Amino acid sequence: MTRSNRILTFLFLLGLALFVWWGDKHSDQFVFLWRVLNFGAIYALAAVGYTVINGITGQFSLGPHGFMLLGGYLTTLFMLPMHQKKVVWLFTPLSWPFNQFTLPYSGFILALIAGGILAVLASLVVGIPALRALRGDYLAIATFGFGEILYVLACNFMGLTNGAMGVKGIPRYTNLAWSVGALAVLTYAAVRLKNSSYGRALRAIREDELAAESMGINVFRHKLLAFMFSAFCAGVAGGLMATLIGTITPDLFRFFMTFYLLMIIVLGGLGSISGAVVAGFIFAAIFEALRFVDTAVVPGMRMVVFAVLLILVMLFFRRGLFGREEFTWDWLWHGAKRAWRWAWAKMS
Amino acid sequence: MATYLQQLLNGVTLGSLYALIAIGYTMVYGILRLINFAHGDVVMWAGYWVFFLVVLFRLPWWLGALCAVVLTALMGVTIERVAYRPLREAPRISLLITAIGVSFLLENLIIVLPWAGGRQKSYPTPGLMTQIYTVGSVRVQGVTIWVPLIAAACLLGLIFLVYRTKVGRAMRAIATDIETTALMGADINRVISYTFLVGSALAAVGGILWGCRYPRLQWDLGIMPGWRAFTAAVIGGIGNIVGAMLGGFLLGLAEILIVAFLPGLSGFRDAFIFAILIFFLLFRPTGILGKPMKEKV
Amino acid sequence: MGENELILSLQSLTMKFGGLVAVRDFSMDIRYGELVGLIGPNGAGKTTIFNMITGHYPPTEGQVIFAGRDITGLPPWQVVRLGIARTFQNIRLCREMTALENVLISFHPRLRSSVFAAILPSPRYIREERRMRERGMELLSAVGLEKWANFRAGALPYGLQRRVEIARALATQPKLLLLDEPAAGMNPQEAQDLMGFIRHIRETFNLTVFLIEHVMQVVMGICPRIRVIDFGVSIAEGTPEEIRNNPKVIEAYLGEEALRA
Repeated sequence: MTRSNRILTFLFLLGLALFVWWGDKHSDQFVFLWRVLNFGAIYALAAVGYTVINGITGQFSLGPHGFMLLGGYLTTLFMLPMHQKKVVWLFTPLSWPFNQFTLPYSGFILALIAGGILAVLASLVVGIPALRALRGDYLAIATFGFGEILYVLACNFMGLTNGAMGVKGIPRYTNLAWSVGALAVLTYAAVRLKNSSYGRALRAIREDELAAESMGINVFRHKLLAFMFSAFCAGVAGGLMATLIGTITPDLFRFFMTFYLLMIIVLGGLGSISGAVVAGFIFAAIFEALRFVDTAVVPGMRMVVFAVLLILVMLFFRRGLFGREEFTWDWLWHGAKRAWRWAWAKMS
Repeated sequence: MATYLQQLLNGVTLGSLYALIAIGYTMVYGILRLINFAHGDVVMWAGYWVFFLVVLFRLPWWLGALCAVVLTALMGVTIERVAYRPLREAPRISLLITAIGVSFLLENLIIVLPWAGGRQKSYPTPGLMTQIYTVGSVRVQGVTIWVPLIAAACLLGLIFLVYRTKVGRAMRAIATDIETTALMGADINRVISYTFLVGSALAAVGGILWGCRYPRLQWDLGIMPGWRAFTAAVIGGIGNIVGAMLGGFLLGLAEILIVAFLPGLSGFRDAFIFAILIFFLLFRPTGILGKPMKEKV
Repeated sequence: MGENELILSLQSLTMKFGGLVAVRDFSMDIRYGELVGLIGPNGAGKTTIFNMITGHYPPTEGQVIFAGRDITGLPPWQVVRLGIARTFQNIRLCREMTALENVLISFHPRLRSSVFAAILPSPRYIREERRMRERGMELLSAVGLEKWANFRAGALPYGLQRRVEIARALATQPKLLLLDEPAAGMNPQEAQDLMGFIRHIRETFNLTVFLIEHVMQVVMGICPRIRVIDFGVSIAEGTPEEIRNNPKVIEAYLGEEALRA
């Protein structure tokens, strides 16, 4: 990275931090925008992880909704105030140890990380057998089945989840500082991972698994690594989502959540981290903008639009916004130069 | 004794429904190597076609059902033509993503349509199906007799089609080796269309009979039957038509018996289905009948 | 030295696929520093023998002894780490990655920094990455590809792709190099150049080379010792001169000519 690019990155991060600080301070004046940006950051975070396993490593998982569910519930159990715990688990008592304690706001980061770690542990449970034996659509189905099993368990383990009724009154700690902050940290990690020697191994596995193995890459361990990373991102995103909405039910993390994430990474370009981030925000904006269509005009219309959009992108625009490229300052420079030249040629 | 027989009949009924639906998964997988995510939703649409035709257009039931089969079959062919065929040369995962998109589209179209909507509708069940027959001490409903009979007739017809006709031979040839078959001059696209036609028609029969058995219509009605039928197809060895039938009956019986005799576990029913599915994918991916495959180095 | 002079010893290898016997009772010894050719008509089972050595197919029967160690049934990634590298008949490069990146993949198994160190990145990882790139460039220069380092591997002409693949195999620091029909798809002149190139890298990197070839003339020029198989069974071994005049070999190849005509 050249010196000027370093300065640009620094300025960008500074601007972002200022914007986040200002946005959180005036959140009550821009309710809609604030909401879109929070959701956008959370979707983008889960999508960044998702594209690491699906796009970069080429191992098709359909289970991120399950990992989000785990993160969401664990964060909820850590952060829900004691009095609220008593109200929610009225009929079935809350299981130990969560009936003993709750964390103050200062422990929020711990709760989020714990959600991520729980998701990583779950990713080991499903990944160790599945990534060793399965690939392609069979892997997709196995991870999908795992997510559905988690949903059934969440509906039935009343002592931990309060079943299908869900949990209300979760403190709404998530704001732009948390959501954008988590997104920034984990996006940095994902980009570094992709560009490192480990990332080269992951990309080699996507392109030719057999060749990668023949060059001494332990394919299984690297797939597992990517899977764990994606589970961590999903777990943290689930925790942020629960503390943004303030309620959680098993239905919040059903398969449609994975469908959203799939749309985001396909639209952004399978394998592009920048694409996942940009498309995450675009998705959240469209999603929230069409909310009125769903509530006031025709329920379900929003999903019809998204489904048609996904099919159209797959049929006619499979590269997505970024293909497998990443946003860099140089990329921006070249693009700007080309646009300028084009405009100049048009004018003269 | 009577209860056992009753439950056995229930199991056979459910099993024959799964078998009908599983055929579509297994045939499409055999030829395109695609897990047709939207197949369960095609089943659901068949139920709605009957609802539209019989309740809204006041057709007689048998005519409505017949038209529903035709419409659903055409729907399956259209889906393949519009959404899957352009991706024939693309990576297989692109096809799966598109299928997921189609699945969501079919589900939400039902919610959007003013005559259907997100709320439950009741399905028009003909009297034949609700009539009670008494054989000795056993009282059975019409569905438990008619569903297995109709299903058996359809499955026999399918076996005849696949093993005794020219189209069937072409289907089997393509499933074995699509490139060679294309080289030998078979019209691949036409055969694939036929496959979707037949698979969707059987799914339609399954969906219509499903409605007779469980007469409530909702947009998500096809999802779980779809997954159970898919599991049945995997148990029987995906790509294997006879295996799918066998898997369907096994799964239907197992499900009824578990629900009947271990009711405490019925809340976990779907979890069991997926656990079985994952178990088979991991340890016996070729099912109980299938032949092993190997990647060429 | 005795036994230790052998780098590779294949002992009664048999490979069955269902009812089909692809290779039957194949034995062969290769000494350190040798350059041995394995030839045979199409479908004779040559690649299957390679796949049994590298662990892609665990042999149905028999043993693979490498440098005095039984490596039968080890997964490919472990076999490579012990010092056997290979190329593929139908070049298997990571086409979307650059030539240099393809070579760097082979260095990855010896990376010592953890994932966390690579993500941060730690000073040690930065040093390791720089060192890998230097050595990658050295290797590419050694095979005459330095100016193509940052080209997409899939965009390179066929002959250069073959060289990238060989460079990638060399980057695993092998003692034994297995080349599966390296001259496939090349015209006679290119094939001759390639054989010169193989001799060159063998001397530079102090390798033992075991190569499969379909076209007899190509191996005749560089391999002092040649083994011939047909229908999964070993039918002859000797110097190029002996092979050329062996009636069984002529029959095997004539049979194929007859089939083709």
